[in-house]
Amino acid sequence: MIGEISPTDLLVLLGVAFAAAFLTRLAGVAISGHIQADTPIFHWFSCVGQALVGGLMVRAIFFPSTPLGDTLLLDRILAVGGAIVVFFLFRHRLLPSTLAGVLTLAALSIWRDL
Amino acid sequence: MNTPGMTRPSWAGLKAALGMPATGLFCALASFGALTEAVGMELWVMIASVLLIWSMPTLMAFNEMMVTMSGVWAMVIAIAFANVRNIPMVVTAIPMVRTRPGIRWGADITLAQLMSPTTWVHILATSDRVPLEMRRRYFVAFSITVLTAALLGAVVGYFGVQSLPKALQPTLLLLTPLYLVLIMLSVRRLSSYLAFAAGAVAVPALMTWSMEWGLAIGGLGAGTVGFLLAGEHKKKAGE
Repeated sequence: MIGEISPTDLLVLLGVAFAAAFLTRLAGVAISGHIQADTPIFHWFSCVGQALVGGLMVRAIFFPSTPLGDTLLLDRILAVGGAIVVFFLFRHRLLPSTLAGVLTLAALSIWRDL
Repeated sequence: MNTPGMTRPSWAGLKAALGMPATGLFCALASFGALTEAVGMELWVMIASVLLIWSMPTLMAFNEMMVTMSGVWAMVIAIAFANVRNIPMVVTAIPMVRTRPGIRWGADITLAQLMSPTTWVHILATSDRVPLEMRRRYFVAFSITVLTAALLGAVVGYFGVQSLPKALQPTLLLLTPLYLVLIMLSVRRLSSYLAFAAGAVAVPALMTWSMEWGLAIGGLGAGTVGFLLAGEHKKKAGE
């Protein structure tokens, strides 16, 4: 368990984790200095970002390594489907559509838990 | 949200973040707080990791490495790969708030360090509604607000998420990814839709083969496919 790691080692591990995370942000800043908005290379980076973040979010919903995986895949599909329907019905409004999805999953989970 | 008449960008950014963005991250980090408490991480380490790392996949990797007591190099590699997504996010966000050419190291690194997918997607989706000279203050205020909400969520989760009904606890974890998927659908550009669709298939599939390489190769490949299919390479700047 984590409790067995000494405080010094914890600080070193935290520092290492911070440095590794910070380096990627620093690399982004350095590259951004050579890129202007609304150019093809800008849009390529944007596409890569959309694919990375979109892929991670889809994975977080449908193939989660978190307790969200304790819910049924069918319920998650219904919740996301409901959210997307509300999203387009309500002219891309995020609050009602996100709430619709989460409340659908909550209702289905409680119903199955009865 | 205020539009071109905006006079107080920091306040407007704070207001834009309150609501779904802050709530989503509050809930997401509540689950992280509960997870760290369950594996025995001390509160100060959890808070420091959220503040210093500030990226959910990386925080999960950090937690996993701590639990399995992996070596320093394993942690560097896992965290660097988990953070690969930061590069395109920062590369595309900074030019949208820049008012003059060149890097402003202090200001740019500050925004980069505060960057999360929630902030990034908001920059892409709403920048055109915020006057250029106000964007940096607007999005820094937005980012600090969601970071504060996330930190509060992590502490609440550390101490109290177990008191929620068992059936409800997992559903909170749907909030942030669902919100981000929906807001990504708000970025109305064909290449974005195509890259998102390709990434939604390729990234999860390739990550079953390799967590680190699957993310990097899947993101680069799917992003490039979306870019090429939409014909972005044939367009001139500003089109």
